[in-house]
Amino acid sequence: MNAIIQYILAFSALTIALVYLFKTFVWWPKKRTNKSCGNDDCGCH
Amino acid sequence: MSKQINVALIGNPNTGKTSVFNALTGLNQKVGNYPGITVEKKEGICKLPRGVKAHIIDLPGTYSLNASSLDENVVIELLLNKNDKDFPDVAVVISDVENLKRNLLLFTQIKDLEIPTILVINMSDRMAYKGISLDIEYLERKLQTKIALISTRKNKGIDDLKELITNYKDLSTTPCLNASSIDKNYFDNLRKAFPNQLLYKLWLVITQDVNFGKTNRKTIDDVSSFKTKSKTDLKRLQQKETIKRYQFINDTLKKGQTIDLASAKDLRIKLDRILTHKVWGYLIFGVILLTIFQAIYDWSSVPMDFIDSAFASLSEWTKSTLPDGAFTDLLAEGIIAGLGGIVIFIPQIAFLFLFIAILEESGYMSRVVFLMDRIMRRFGLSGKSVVPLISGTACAIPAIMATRNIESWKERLITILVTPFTTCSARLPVYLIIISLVIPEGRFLGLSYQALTLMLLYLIGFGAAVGSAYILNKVLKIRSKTFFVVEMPNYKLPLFKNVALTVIEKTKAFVFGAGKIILAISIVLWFLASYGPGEQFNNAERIVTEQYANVNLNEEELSQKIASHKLEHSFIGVTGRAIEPVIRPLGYDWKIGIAIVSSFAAREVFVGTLATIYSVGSDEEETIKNRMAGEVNPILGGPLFNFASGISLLLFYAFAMQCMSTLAIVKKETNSWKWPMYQLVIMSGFAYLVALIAFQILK
Amino acid sequence: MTLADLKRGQQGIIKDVSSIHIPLKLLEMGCLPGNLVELVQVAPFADPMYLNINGSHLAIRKETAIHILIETVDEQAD
Repeated sequence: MNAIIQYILAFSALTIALVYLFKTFVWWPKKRTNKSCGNDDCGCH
Repeated sequence: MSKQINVALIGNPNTGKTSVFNALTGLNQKVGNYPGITVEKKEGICKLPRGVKAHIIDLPGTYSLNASSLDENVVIELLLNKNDKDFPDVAVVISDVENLKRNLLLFTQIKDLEIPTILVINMSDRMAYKGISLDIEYLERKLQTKIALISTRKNKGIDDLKELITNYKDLSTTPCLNASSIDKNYFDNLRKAFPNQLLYKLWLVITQDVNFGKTNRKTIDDVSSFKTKSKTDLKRLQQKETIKRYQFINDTLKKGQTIDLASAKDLRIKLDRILTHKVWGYLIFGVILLTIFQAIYDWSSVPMDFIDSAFASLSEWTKSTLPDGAFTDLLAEGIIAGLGGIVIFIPQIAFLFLFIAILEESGYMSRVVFLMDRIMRRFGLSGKSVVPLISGTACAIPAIMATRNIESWKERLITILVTPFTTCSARLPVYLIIISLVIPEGRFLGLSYQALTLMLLYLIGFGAAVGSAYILNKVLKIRSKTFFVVEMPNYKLPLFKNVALTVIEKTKAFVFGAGKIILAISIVLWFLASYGPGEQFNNAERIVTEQYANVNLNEEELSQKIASHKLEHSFIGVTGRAIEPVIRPLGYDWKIGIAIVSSFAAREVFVGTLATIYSVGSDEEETIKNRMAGEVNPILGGPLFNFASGISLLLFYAFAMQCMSTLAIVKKETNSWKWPMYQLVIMSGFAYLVALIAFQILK
Repeated sequence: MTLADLKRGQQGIIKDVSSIHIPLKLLEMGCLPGNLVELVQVAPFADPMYLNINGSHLAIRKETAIHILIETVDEQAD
């Protein structure tokens, strides 16, 4: 019983960590307000 | 719930705007980001008389409403968008009594947006010293505003300001300058096209080629059908507008302000004569830099050692107190260790920002920018790149965020791209342990070889940053108007409160920004190291026990063998062995491979991972070191960490882009995956090549 | 003559700033025709230049300074 709870807790921690990393690196949750700033000096005229 | 008054603090840089914000809100403040961009958003709550509360936003410092940077853009974006939840009920313009003329330019612009505006004249304690006297009544009448004469240094006038904010409804909203006087025809047409809009607001939307929020972008598009003026013409009109505003300000100040030059004293001239001197200036800057490095690496070693051992015992305690199980293990080996890896950098980061805050508050940083600009420009950088490059020696993340005030996009981009080469504090634990293993003790000219190696690695880091900047400057084809205007503020004694709040805020930003990522990666790594595919992992106990059936091992030795066998066949172990062929030419085995892979969470994880791999029960560095020294190269024989592989590892860590948090911040700041990917591939590729050459030559 | 020709300690009156190479920000900081400008200090190679324009202290690069037309006030620099 105890072991099961421990597993559930551990894997929820893993899930949270993975979701957080995914959100940070792959999918940007906040809306994009700027176009890509790669090639011109947007905002730095 | 009583209604909150929305207050926006606006002002030129160096007017003590942040001091006013701190005086109004105290510790009731929080720092966040504006949605989608990484510009800092500082807000706080202030209790006003008669039970009223104010929500105060400290907007980024700007010289005018014509934005030239992302930070400044935030100001206009907010002031033009009436639907924004933070749109101010009242704008408080902070000015500095010594630069009133220049500060009033921004004031007149905000007044023309017909927002109720209060003028704060700060640093009033310096009036007598500078021989300035003001006719407040006249100024209030002429500028159609209320004026609060305050001194945050002497803590005077704050209550008057609070009173004025409470009564903001009494403020006049009459503009200072009739916008159509700039070009009558043009503005008459504008008025016809958009009869319901404020003329000055339209004018701002037309002249800003920066991005605006949704509501305003639509307005721009509407106006574009009406664009009859070329960019150059618009610029001439902007010049004309500026001249008109200054005429108004000069007229106002002619009567409202008297300056008795005879009684003015100036510390600036004397200090500048030394601090910006062609020889002494650089010498003093060098001494200051050395002091900062000394502080970061020497003074912070005591708290760092303390944190290190505190987390080790906390982890030990968790393991022995909580019931056995997967979560307890994760807590002890993954989460607490991960947290320790973040907290241990707090002393260094706090020290670094303590110094940077003092240098900036005192006005010295502008002198450094002045001294270094010409030298940095040879490498495609700006004088303003000095601050990020210094900050980079603690951590690249705040350093990259500090590039925002570089006006030229090209210079800023190059600074962002090369900053990760500077030797950040996360490399230090790696350097220290490898140096102690492979560099012989002994002295050269009184300096130990080991210290010299470390110094050399720092130089290599700076050299790589500057050298790659030079190449990038030649390679990158970015058309970018470079202009460079730096205000040289007066010298001031830094306010303790401001410095302390900056240090707390920056440290918090690191802990909660990079810290979350490092923690998440530590958790994932723990899983990858604790679980594995197939027979070898699942039946590790049986396999090892059988293997050592004939050897006399005590229980502890046996459990260590089992742990390292498990690790070898865990997900991370499998990965490490898969990449072994790639790293073997550099002189590494799969264990070092794993350590390198896990270093992507943060470089210092290298040492921790090796400690886990060599299944060292105790956390004494000495033991890890001995274990590492005892490792044998599986192919060549002899110690695994010898001079050749050690140098190769040091060079690899010096050049490789190994920090996911830095990549995330570069993505945020450049708003594209392109640049962080270039960094990752080019830096790591170069690191591989250099490490390969070094090992092949030295072996 | 232009601002770039000033010597350390010399003063001038700004005559013309209409060149497109002059950023608006500079004008906003007080670099306008009729204003007094003093060269306070120069970095090595006379670049950047540390100016005092009508009480406003700022530093600009030489590449910008060559576009600002001025007239000297006193011919002998002190």
